[in-house]
Amino acid sequence: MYGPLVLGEEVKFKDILLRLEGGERYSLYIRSSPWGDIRKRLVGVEKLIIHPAPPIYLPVPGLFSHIYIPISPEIYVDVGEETFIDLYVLPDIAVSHVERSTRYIDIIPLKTPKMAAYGGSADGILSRYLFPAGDEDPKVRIPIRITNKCGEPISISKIVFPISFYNVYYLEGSSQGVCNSLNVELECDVAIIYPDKEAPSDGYKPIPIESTEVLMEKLGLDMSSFKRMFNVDKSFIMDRGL
Amino acid sequence: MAIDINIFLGWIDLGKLYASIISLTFFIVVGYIIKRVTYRYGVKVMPKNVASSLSNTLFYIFIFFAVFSILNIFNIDLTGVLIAGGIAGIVIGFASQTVVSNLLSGIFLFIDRPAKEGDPVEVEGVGGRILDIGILSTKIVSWDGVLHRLPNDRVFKALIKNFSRTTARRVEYKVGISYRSDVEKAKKIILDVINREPLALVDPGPQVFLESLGESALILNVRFWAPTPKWFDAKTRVLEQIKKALDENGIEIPYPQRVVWLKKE
Repeated sequence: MYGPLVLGEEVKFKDILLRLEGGERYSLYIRSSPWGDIRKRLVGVEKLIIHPAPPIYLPVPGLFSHIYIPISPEIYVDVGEETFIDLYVLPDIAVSHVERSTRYIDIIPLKTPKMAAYGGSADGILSRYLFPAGDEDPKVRIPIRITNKCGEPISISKIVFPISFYNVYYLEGSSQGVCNSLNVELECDVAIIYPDKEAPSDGYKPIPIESTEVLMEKLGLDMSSFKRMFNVDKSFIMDRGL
Repeated sequence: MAIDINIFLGWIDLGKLYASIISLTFFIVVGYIIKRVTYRYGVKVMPKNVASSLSNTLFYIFIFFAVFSILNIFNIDLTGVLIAGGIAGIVIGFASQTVVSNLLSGIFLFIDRPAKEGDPVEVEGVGGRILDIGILSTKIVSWDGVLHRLPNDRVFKALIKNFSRTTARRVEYKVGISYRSDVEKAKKIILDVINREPLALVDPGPQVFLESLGESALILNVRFWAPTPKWFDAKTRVLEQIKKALDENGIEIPYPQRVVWLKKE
């Protein structure tokens, strides 16, 4: 469950148990998971916030700048048709301070974070691969509007976009997260992808971080190559492997 | 001004002398500006050392022609100088053809850009990181820390393997398992190891297949892709994990074996 984790309480996500224990001079954050146990002493902390993390973590930061979502089975979009779909992906879980909300105490992947090469291994870009969430998993919903502007039907099997398009929001007291909507316009040779920056209104909170872009810079992601991928419309052109 | 002065070469018109000094100063200043401008814009599109060499060369060519035009003011016959220069040029040309070849190759390497400083490469069997691509030679520090200097004309003609130009590189192992082992089980164990490795890409995906029936073992070919900057880390780590996982699951990696038949009388 996302939301506050107060002293003496615990929270469970799949195989991961998070606890905050009180001590005389400090509190102790404990994470038990298949990735190993972590204990951190925290001074003057009586409450933490659990929320979904931006999907930018790998053991080695700075290797990738885009997100890759597989769509299986692939979606068939007829000529001139507009389709709305929701993709559910497995999030990483973040634990952060309440006061110093830009500082993460812990990031826990629910599945081994993986990468994919988009555009071919030789000349492509490295993307964080988002695993589809199962029925029982905590998940982040990504609403997508697909419009076919080509004169022939098109099947779409993956969506790739820059990390900065992905802003995640969460609902306190649940394990549900939601991303801002993405628009995918299918031309005959390319797909143009751009985000709706509006937040969902029904009680969802933004994750407590300045912005994904700031975090990316902190992690040493190569912003110069990242920015080159934008065009003036702030959209990403997906030109291979629709 | 019609005042002439007597110097050791003879009588020189003072006006022409002033004119030549002013011209020379002017040409030096203009040449210096050309040099600075060339360097300033050059470093934006080419390595510093190449930009520096180019701007210096332009400066000296400019000064050379400036001196000739100034000598012309004094009506000095340059035919002899040109003939001597031509002969000297032929002699120097023959003597320096290797240098010129390296120089031109350096320029073509700059235009072609098969690699840049810091890139991990293999050139003429020398594997390492490029330290410097100079105007005459390329310096590579090999993986064992030895500095190799290769003349540019050899680098230009050589097969250059640049390991940093691609997004991902394929890792490949050949793993031998005993004839008694379950091939499908071994393939699954190896794939599980690769799937647990964050640096092994999902797309392009990993492959494990039986490649050959060896003398002493069944040879499995294991392939997966990893980000180029972390290729070596992924390669070494996954191989260790594969060995460990096969051991834990009782899959034997056999030694070379010989079946010996003894003839009985």
